[in-house]
Amino acid sequence: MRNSLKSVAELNFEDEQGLKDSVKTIRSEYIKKAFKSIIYITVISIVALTYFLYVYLPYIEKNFFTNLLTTEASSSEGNSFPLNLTLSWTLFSTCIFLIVYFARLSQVKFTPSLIKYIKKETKFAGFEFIKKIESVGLFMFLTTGSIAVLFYIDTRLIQFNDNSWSIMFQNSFCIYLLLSLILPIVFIFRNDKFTIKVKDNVFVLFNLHYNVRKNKDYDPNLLGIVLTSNRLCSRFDKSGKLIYSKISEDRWLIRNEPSAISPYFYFEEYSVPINFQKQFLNIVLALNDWENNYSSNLDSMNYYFSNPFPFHKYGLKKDEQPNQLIYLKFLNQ
Amino acid sequence: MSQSYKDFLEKYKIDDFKTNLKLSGHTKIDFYNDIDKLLRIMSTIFDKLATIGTLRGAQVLMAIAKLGGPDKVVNKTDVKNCLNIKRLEKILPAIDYLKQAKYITIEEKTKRFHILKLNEEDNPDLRVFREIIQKYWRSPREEVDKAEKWSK
Repeated sequence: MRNSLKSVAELNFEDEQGLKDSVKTIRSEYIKKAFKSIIYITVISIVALTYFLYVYLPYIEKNFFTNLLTTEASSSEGNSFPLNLTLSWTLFSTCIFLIVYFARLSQVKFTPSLIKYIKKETKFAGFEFIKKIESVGLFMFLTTGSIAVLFYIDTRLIQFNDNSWSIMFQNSFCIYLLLSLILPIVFIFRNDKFTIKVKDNVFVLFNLHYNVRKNKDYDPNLLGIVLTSNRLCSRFDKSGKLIYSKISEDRWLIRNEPSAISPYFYFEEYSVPINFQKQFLNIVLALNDWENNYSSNLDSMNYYFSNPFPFHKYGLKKDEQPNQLIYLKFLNQ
Repeated sequence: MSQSYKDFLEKYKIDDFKTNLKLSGHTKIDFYNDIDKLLRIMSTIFDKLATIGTLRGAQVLMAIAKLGGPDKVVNKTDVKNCLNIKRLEKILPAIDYLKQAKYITIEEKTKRFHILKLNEEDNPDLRVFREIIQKYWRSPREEVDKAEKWSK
């Protein structure tokens, strides 16, 4: 069962015993991963708390953030640690980000062996399974900016004589600091996904559904993979809605009502490991159908609006405009 | 367009023996389209049912039906390729099951070369199954080719 090359378990869903063993492996890997995340969170929290109690609190009693921006502050007493603000913010933001990151990681149920299995299946179908982590890059980029500015403030390279400039800078920099922390956290939840790029701007996202705890109402061996496409069109787009319904109906895709938070249509498919490739191809071909029909529909609409109807050809006067229906070839199939 | 067998019978009054079935012009085309649609739906149902079970028996049966024909030779590797499965071992239990249930026949030409056929003699229903599958079903290999072609 063990792969000597990569020491990641090889999953087998072909028979009942294999399925049970594989689910067991995934469950134990997930528990290990969640446990590791909890340890990381604890260590980070201890470091942050120690710093806060023994370094930052004594320091904050003597110095205030606002004083640092004025020239008067340069002569302030008790500022014994020249890079205090830079270090404090770096530590604070990194701790918060990492705590949220690991908390989220402990919720993500993808485990190394399952990732390996899905990678193999998708590769055999001609696509590549990617783990997209955008939050870390964004956090590093934004934090580098804030560190640079804080460093200049700490070393007194940025100073303001005029008080209004100082307040404006202070406010806008505070907003930047907040955003540099909030945006990456939002990205952790929204953009860090397991995905397959089908083509430019077309992709399929993955989510895993299984119960780690043993539950009477839920089959412990049911390991569901929910596949979601990129957004298709707004729910207010009537022709888009018709095409979406038709494709979903023909391909037996899950049809969820779009929520108020995300008023867009998405294709959604449910699979288990044994039929993963088939269901994945189903959603990919649904996207193909969408591109063929929605784009051609838009083209025909553009053509319709850009070209006046040839009334003379049909012996009609311009005033007697008939109820012109846009011909949707696809919908009439 | 009819999506139900009952609606189809009602639409053309097929189970009403007092009315003659007259098919001319548009009606003939509609009639053909409706039958075509019903068969396509049946093919989709076969396809969906085949992906639910853990044993790949239904998928193998569909692959043999798709590839088979009077002058065609189908072996295990052809079935594996048609289903776009990496390892032959994944379909061997299903082939064994189909053989035991006499849904297929296996002619062993050599030790390694085995010809698979649908057992239409014992199961005449499989003829309609083959016709539907050959006409309407798109195999995983064909789907992969289509998806790859589109993505490039």
